[in-house]
Amino acid sequence: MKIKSGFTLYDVCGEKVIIAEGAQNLNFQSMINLNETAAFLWEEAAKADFTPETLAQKLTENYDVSLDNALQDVNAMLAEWSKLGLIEA
Amino acid sequence: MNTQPFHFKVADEVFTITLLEGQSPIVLLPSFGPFLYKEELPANPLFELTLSPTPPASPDEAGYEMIGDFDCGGCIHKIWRKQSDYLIHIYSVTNELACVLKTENGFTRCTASVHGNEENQCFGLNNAIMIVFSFSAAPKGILMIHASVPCTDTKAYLFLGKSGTGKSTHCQLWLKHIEGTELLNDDNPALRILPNGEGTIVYGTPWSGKTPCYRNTQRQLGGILKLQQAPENAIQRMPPVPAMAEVLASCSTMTWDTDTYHHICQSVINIVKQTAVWHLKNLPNEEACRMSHQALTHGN
Repeated sequence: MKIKSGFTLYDVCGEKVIIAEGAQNLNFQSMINLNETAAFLWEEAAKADFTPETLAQKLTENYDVSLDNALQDVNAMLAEWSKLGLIEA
Repeated sequence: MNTQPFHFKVADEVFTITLLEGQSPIVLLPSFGPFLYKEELPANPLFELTLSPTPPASPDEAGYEMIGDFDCGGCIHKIWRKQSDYLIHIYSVTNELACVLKTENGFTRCTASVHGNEENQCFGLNNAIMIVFSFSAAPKGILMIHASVPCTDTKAYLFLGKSGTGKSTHCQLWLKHIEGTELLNDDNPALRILPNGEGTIVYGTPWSGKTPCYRNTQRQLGGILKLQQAPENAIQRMPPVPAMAEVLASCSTMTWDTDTYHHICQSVINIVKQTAVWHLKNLPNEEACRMSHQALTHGN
């Protein structure tokens, strides 16, 4: 999986938001707020192609969380991003 | 053919408009008088826009890709792109073609033809210059923003809101009730974000909507007010993210031009970091005006 092009993560006074840019995202109206974990996952996901497992692995390396729980969180996050049209297979 | 170059300075940036022989600056650029620049030209002016007797390009030419039709305050802009160059057809409010604008080299080298009667030509050219100014200046931390702007001797305040939400009306209330305030611009001021967190400068421009207020002057940005009509008056400071969304929505942007859009987003974030943005639900009355004045000048 990878993040579609044209989405940039910005830091607005400490809060993380994703803003759409580019002709392919003309109909994308809103900004998306990310919490700390989601912003961490986004930054990892933006680096290279990923799978739920590789992201979950990163999460366990940086947060005190089991791989099972991390995978659950990552899958929920990816389902949300998929619904919003932020990622592609 | 003889051409006539005119140099202007807006928001501390110098640019050149070259009219064709027989084209009158009084007719085509009536609001630019206060911005005429007669000193020595800088090595790198912001942009040069040259008038052409015929459209500088056709969308049928190879390489142009249609981006879309956009409603810009009641008039349609049709936009095509060839790599990073743009071709823009600007239509008047009566839907007549008023200007064909071709931009090259990051909006720094532009050519335009104007069409229809004098009023149409003026409308088209002014829109074209505003577009070129907005996007050539974006990388320098300059923004064009849709706002009504009252000011004091030292500070200017931006009143934001969609058309018809009472920006100008609330601004008029300030001019009437708040001693020492005057109008800086009523539609499209320019902002320059200073480096190192030194704040933001608000400039008058040749673009001021229906109110003829073309002042070549500047003030420090004192605060931002988002207006919304409501059955009673209430004011609240906006958290950073909604504040950023509000300010960004009021700026001239092209979301499909990734480079300028990124600059503009970053500039807006820098403004929101340093400037309080207030949300005023209001009736068009003196109480609302006292409320917003207290918040913007005293922070409560």
